[in-house]
Amino acid sequence: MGSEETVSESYDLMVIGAGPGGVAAAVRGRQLGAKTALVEAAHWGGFCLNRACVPTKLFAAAVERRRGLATAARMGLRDVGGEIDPGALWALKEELVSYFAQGTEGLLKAKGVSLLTGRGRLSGPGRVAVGESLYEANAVILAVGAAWGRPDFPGAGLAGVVHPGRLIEEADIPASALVLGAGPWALEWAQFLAACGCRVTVAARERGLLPGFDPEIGQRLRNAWKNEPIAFLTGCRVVRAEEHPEGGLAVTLSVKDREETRRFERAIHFERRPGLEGLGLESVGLKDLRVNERLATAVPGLWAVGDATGCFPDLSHGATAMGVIAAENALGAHRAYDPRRVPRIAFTSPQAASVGLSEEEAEEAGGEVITGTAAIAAGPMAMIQGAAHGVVKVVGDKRYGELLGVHVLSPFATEIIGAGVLALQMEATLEELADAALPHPTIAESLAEAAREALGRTLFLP
Amino acid sequence: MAIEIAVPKLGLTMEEAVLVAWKAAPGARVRKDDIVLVLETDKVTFEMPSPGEGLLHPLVPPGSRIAVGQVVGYLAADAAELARLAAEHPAAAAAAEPTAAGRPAAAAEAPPAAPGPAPGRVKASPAARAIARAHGIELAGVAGSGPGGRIVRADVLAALERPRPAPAAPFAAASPLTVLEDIPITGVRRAIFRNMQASLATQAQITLHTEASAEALLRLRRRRKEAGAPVSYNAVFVQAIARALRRHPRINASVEGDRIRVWREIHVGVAMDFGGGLFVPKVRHAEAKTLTEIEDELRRLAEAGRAGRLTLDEMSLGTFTLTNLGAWGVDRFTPIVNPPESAILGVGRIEEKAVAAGGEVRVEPRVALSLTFDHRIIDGAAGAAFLQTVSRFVEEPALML
Repeated sequence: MGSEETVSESYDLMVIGAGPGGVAAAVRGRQLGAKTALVEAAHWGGFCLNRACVPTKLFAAAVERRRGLATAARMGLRDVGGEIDPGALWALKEELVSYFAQGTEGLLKAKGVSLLTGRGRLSGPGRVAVGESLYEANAVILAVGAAWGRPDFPGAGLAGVVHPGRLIEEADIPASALVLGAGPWALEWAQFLAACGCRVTVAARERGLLPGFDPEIGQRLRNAWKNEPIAFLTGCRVVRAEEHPEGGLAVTLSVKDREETRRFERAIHFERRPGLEGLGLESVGLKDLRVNERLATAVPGLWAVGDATGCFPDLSHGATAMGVIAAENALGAHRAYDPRRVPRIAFTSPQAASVGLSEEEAEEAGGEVITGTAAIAAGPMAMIQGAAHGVVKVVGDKRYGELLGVHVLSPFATEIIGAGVLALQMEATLEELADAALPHPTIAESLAEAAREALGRTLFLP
Repeated sequence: MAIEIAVPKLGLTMEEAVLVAWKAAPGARVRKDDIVLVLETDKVTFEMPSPGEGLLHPLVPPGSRIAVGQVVGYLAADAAELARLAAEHPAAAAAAEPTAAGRPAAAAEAPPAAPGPAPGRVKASPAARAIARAHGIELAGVAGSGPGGRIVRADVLAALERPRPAPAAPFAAASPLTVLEDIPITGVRRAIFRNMQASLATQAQITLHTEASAEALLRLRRRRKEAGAPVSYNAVFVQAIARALRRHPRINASVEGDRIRVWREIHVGVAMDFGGGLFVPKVRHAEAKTLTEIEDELRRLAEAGRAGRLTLDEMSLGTFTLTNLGAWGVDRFTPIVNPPESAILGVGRIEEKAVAAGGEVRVEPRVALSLTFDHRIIDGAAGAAFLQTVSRFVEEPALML
């Protein structure tokens, strides 16, 4: 683009992409008094709202509700059914998504962010083109998110190999599915599909469930899922996929160096890569959006947040935190983003949540490590909720007693972890956690007991 | 106004102490400079003089672990104020904070901070507090970078990286001088640092100097060498010290709590420098050893020291120290006692000097002997008598036999 082109408007801050990272960055920019524009091509609220968090968490809630209904008879509730009707669920999903998408748009307008609809692309340093219009900005934050990728095994291009976005669009529950991976997202889908009557097989390259979490959490989840109608193949690799003569896919898997071919209606992958296509990175001399801890790219005035940076796994709250920091830094602050303070969560049943360092990570980081665990079954609330499997584990540094990590597997773990996030952010020691007067009876009270266990003074464990 | 009784910092590295005893009963009148309480650190015991006059209101029971700067009690001007203090501040019994491990936090975080900039609460994260406590850093002096100026762990770690200014450091933080080398005070250096500081902070040290003829010493060395059994100067000095201590047992003593402990054993430490700092290995039961045995022991210790193999056992539990700077051409010097010992002998170089005696001037090799001792427990005359004995043994080694 020639420099003689007319610039429609100049901004202090322009943000491309209206997902959680972009929305947070734009709002924060406005709060700091910057004239801010947010560019979005299609979906206000981004992937999280439209395709991921909101829909899949609704599905997870349905799974959890169904589990509750299964035990309702023991609580004296008669004649409650437990079959999921996908049609009704999808209708509710549409309702929620459109409600929140409108809410996002309204929020941004209320905050005074200029909304530019269209695909934003860089047009040289400090310049953003949207459609035919050209804009100038002192700082640009790229929050363009990720795009679906494709697995690398032969046959990955077959129609039966799909990403979960397709499942959401199709509103169809396959009769059988191969779920590729054992991360939070894959396990959430596996459990939901199984609850809808799909025969599910989970195939993961890793040896355990929930890689990236403390291994104890993955092991306990596997135990909790002993009775789930889900088959697990860990340490497993897809050799190839072919069309099955009777329909669906014939997928050849390598499990412990032995190959076997199985038939699935669908194989579901979760491959994502930074959505950099058509972003005009070449106009500023960049090939990717790697950032430093301040979230600055190699180009002055150009910042990046969220999935676009290649910082997976995809976590909306991570992107939101990055958005706030990038906006502040773009306007002159010097803040660093610390990914260790962003919790990893799985809306499985029971839920898993983890923040800070796992025991292994803490040991690798050096220094003496102490851990404490409290099985939630020791408390009455877990029994009331019918949750036999669950644990709270804390990891601390022995020298100063500083809390380094909190790992939870339990009902409401994604809520309980909030206390851990705050404790970590405020640099709490195990002492503080042990002394916290957590309400009784709750599952969350296990958090204090785990800390007490680490300090050798449990109150309720033998 | 009530007078605060706060824990003084007795040594540069002192972080906390145990309040061993109150020397006055609650409500009793204490005069200024009366001993009001006894503190004990890992190095020393300290009888603290009262900062003023008043009726004692102790806050902390004996046996409590307390932080430097912590207010442990008050002196009330009169009975009315004493009653008010009793109402406002819980009495000693109620304030009892168990000394048990696991809760040192309570002491260090007690609200009345040491004389710092702004009184009141220091905003700091728990981890920052824990690290500061472990390293004896005053949080009041650390700049906070967290929300609202809160001190976070990174701030304390940064403060740890910086060299800590001594209380009366000649160069302030804003010094125009540039740092050539920053040497962390750790390990052996830290031990020396603490010991020397504690030495001068707690003892009333005095040094007596004398000079002895080294003629017999040189002769003895020559004879032993010719006989194929050479001895070092230090071996002779250790023997002289040990034999002299047997005659003057009260020099061979330490202060423990509120008593003087005179030791039966005579373990003479010899200061040695192998390049990595000062080590003082001990010649055990030196009084019972022959010169050859002392010589062999010194050789063994020096070899172990050069190989970095001296054990803690070989370096602890001394009762007296010898330090000899003769090899460095030092004439005479003032040594510092190595606590909990109470005396140390410094030896200078042997030098030929003109000596007038019997109306004649003759040239004689002389050696300077300097005795530093703790004047709190050793009187001048007693110290001088000991030094005289050592001097005579050096001049006439045969007397030792």
